[in-house]
Amino acid sequence: MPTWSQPGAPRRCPIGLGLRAAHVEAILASPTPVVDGFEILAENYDGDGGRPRDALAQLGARYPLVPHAVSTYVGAADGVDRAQLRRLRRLADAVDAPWVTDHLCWGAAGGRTSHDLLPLPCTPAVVRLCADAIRAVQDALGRPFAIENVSSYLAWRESTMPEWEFVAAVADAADCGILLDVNNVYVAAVNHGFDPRTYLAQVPAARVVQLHLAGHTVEDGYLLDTHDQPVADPVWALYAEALARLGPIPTIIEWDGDVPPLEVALAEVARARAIADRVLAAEARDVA
Amino acid sequence: MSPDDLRARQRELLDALTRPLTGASRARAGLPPGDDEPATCVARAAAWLAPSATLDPAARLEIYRRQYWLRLLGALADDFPALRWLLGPAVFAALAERYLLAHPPARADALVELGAALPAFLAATLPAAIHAHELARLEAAWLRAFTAGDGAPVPAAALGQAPLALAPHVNLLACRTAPDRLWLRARAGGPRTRRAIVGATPRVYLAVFRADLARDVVRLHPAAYTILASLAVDGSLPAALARAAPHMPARGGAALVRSWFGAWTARGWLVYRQASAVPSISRSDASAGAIVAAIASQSDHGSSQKPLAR
Repeated sequence: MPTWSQPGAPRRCPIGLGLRAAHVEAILASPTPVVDGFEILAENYDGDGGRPRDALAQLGARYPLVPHAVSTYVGAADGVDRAQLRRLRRLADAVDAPWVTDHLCWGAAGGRTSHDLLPLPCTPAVVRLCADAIRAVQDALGRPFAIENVSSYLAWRESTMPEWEFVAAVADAADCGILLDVNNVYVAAVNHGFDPRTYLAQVPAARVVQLHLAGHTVEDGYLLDTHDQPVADPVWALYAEALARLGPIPTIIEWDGDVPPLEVALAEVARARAIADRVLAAEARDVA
Repeated sequence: MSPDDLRARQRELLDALTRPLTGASRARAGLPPGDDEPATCVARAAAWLAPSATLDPAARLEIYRRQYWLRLLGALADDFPALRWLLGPAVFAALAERYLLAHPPARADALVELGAALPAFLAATLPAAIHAHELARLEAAWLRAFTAGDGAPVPAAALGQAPLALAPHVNLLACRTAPDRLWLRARAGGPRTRRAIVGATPRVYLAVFRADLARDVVRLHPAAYTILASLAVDGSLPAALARAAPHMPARGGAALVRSWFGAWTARGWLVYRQASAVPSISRSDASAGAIVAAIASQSDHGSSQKPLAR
């Protein structure tokens, strides 16, 4: 089974893509691996058959695959959906996932769903609620689970701590990993008016298992996390800082809207590779 | 904030987010003008939120409300492109909004299932637009066929030895219009003429299925449709053949039935029925060959039905 890191290989940051249906044919046609691994949007691949499952079977033989879910809703006061967890477990088992990720958010209530990733009030009581849910999720999945910080456009008046403290507190209380989305840090920083470097500096490094990069759109008075364009320059700069602090954390580039040809997405991977190699080489020189 | 308080706020906030868009947001979503008065629950939810340096709480909430509608309207447009072509973008958007208000997405359903009830909604709200809701049924069947399972295919030699079912990816449609032809016209982007929409056809029977990972649709003989629909209901081959008998052609029925079963088994359409759903089957029913021969014999000599157009 392919893995993110090769034993004995030199210190290297694994960099992959969020798998998109439009790219599958070109990826499978390539005689050599195009990236170090893929993240699969879990809800798009939890059906019983057809092209999505066939793609996973073929890609899973050549690449490590990590399921990334969007509907676990560990912050939903109504609790997690056990049927959704069963589907997620089945998918994770099918691709032998090393870990599974979803967002630290809510999005469903009263039996209905928004299909969105809605921010939570950052309070100690909500930390406990999320931690309880995440422990149940990890038990159900039978493997590590990591929570992703979300992009957000609203903030609750009742929040009593900054988001980075909230994320860290939940991860500690649940004993889970963190998927640090560098673009989301930047979007939230602009929308809420904080310094993204403070966020990066406060994230508990030992818990970060994966990084995300994506593009966003500049709207009137806020940034919108659209995943439909290249990663912005300020986000690349933050990514370099994140690698310098966290080390060679597996990185996934997401591109969900107006999906470009594979070579355009691979150009983003190449840019991430260049940054990671430069940062890690400088770190190695410092150590020497 | 206690868990009960959080639960109550999440329900109210979700209620606010899913209220119809107002003002400029409606135009941005391609929706016709509506009531511009924001709902009370929207103002109430905004009171729980903090402003940013550039946006007040209501404007921040509006971002999510707009994204909710853009996401769901976009998903329905992606899933029902031919219906959108038939109705036109504006009418489709207005229909989709009404549908989503009547059928808000349930937590248990994936986004791909968002339009599952759209054909029935269309039939109930616009009963005269048969061509539209039959086209919607076809597109909903496309969606099901894309990711449904294969089941365990029954080889031709094993027919009659166990109760049968249709492979999960096979969807049967009995139509009064010709949605398959309309779908092809939509894909080609042709004009929406009355002749293109209505046509003059006898009843059309369709199978929407997956072959080599691609979706496909074929027309079925009425008797073939009856056999498959009957197998889907109870899995009994004798019952299926008996129900199809009135629809069989006066001559050549045996060869026709053999060719159908040959094609269906080659395509993997016939699968073993799950044990929990297995109806009882007597030993005397076990020989499919004998049954096929019997029904063919009956058709060849006894049926007064004329062959129907394929």
